[in-house]
Amino acid sequence: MKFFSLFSRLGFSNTYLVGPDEGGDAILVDPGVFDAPLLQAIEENRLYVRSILITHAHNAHINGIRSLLKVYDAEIYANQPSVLDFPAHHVQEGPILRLGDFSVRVIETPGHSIDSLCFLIDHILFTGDTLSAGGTGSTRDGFARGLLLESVRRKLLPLGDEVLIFPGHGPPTKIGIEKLYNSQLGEKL
Amino acid sequence: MFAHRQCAEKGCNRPALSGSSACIVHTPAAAQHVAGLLTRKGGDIILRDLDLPGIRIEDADLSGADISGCRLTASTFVRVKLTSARIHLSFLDRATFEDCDFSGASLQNSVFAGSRLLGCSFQDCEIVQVNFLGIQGERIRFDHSNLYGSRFIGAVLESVSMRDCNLTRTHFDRMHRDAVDFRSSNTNEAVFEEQPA
Repeated sequence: MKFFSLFSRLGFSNTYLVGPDEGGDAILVDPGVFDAPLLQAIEENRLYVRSILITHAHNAHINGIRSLLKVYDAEIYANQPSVLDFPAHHVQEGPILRLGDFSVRVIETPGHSIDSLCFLIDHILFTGDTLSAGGTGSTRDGFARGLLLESVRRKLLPLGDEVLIFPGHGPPTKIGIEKLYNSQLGEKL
Repeated sequence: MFAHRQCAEKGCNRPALSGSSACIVHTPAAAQHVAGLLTRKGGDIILRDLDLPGIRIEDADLSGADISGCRLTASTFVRVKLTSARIHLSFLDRATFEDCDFSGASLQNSVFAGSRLLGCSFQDCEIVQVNFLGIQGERIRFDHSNLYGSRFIGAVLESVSMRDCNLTRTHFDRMHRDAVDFRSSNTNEAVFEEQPA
């Protein structure tokens, strides 16, 4: 598996590119921006963006879609029927998605936003704004906070300590690290 | 990258080393196996997409090494020279670093969480979006480094120098500190109190 992490100063967000070693159909997670470094990573590795996974439809994670779709004939997967007026596959928890060479497990984690999803590919978990190194996403009110913490504790933490977390903002981490050092996960509901 | 292979030894649940079917304990001549991977080829040390958890490296010169997509979890580094190394997208969590020199290195999107760092230098480094959660650090110098977006949440730091550093979006929430020197650094752009992302 080829894996790239790209940072956008526009929304201070991370975009991730996953593709086969030998090149071919790739997955892009949260294209907050479509810029020269991302285009370079795609083209130099003989990848073609066929699928776009959206953890949640906030601007910092979707702003690159318009430009991307002018270059690549890609399908969008999100927890809503459209993103920026582009049609999307409305995905929720259920059957494993098969995208090119990759199996993607969709995990619903509402709280930061009602459409928040996490995506698990092998041992790599893309958490968007649900969970980051030492923190969790902002929430509108106590109810949303409860939803977020409940979904993290019940669905993400049991995935295994060695699962690697690649969040929408900030550095990567692991489930085991968050269990030890993320005090927000211990908040009372 | 980041493939997850378990040690082939029956009953062992440690991850296997790259180039071996077994873990650090069950790989025959593991030290030689690791030394072979660290050999300079044409003057360069390039470690890409390798799983090397639990290894021990002592008195080694890895200056200028290119380390990316590697897992070095729970490894031990003693007197290792990593000056001007490039460490990107790598996991060095729960590791031990004693008297290591990272001066001039570029560290990005990497994880040192839960590690113990003693007498190490990270001076003049690019340390961008690096996870230092819960590290125990003593006698460390980060002077003149760019620590943009890095996180020291829950770290325990003693006698640490962060003079003339860029601390924009650097998180120090719940840090325990004793004799940490922030002189000439932009602490006003760092985060010292816990808040949701």
